[in-house]
Amino acid sequence: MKKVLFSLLSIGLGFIFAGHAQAAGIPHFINYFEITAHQLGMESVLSPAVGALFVTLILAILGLSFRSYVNSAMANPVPSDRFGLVVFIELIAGFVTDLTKDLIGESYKTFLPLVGTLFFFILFNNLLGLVPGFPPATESMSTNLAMGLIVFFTYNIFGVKAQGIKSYLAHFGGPVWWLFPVMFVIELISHSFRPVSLSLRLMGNIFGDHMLVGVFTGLTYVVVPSLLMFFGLLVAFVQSFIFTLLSAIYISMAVSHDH
Amino acid sequence: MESQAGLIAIAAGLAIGLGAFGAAGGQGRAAAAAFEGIARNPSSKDDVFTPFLLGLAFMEFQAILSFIIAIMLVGKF
Repeated sequence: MKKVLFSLLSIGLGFIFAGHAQAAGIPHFINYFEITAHQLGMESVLSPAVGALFVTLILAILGLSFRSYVNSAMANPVPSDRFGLVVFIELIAGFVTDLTKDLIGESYKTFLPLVGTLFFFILFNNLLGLVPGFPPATESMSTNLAMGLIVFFTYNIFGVKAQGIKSYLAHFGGPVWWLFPVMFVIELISHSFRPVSLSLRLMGNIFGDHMLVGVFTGLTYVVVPSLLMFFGLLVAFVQSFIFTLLSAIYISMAVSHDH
Repeated sequence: MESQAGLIAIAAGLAIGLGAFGAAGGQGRAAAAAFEGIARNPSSKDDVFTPFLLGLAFMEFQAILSFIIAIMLVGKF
């Protein structure tokens, strides 16, 4: 129950920030959706918040259907022989579980809901970006910053919980006591830049990729954009992997006892 | 005013161009080293892959930063 609440809280925070992005005057560029939507006769494209809502709906439906599949598989544990959606989800879930287990260690079960939710949310948002007319929420800085801040607070809170406030703060201090003032400032800056770098990386990649597809759609209309969209598929997977990997590394660095 | 717009355009082009130059060079070196390692010892493929991707992400971040700066410069028109 606690895990479900945790995941819901993360997604909810993402919504609040994504909705907020609409008000802020972020510089506006032509992109693939707008060109496609314009040719279909649509005046304005959907906002990133709608994209996030749509992804959450997809994830809820997929999760419930996967849960019912798991329930039925308990009675009859014969794996399906064709590659369907269930196998795809199983593949990704197994991949994320292995990743978290490798990096965090024995306490990985505490963080698996967060890391898995982040991976699925980012992956489906990035993949949604390849469908014309749907905006990916990861293209907006606010969604990404919300996810980065969730990771930031999570690893700080669980780091303090695992090591105690004194030994956690000692990490910031460097090896010798008289270096403490210098090292503390440097570490503070490097830690507070972590959520920013996480979110900027994701935003820049997705935004840049879509602008690339948009520019080439405007130039050539056929054939060339499809090649770039294949590249976009690669970027979608790699970026969600990188975000999850870095989150797991930050958490494991904060929670581990051995230094 | 026109000359300022031209300067901004040159600055944006230089920003993304130089950023991509450095990042591409670094990524090429990292990829060369990783592939060489895998070619010498194919069983190390799984161990090399994740740090390789992580290194690429950190190098790509510099290019992304210059991309964002170029976008902000273009937005000044």
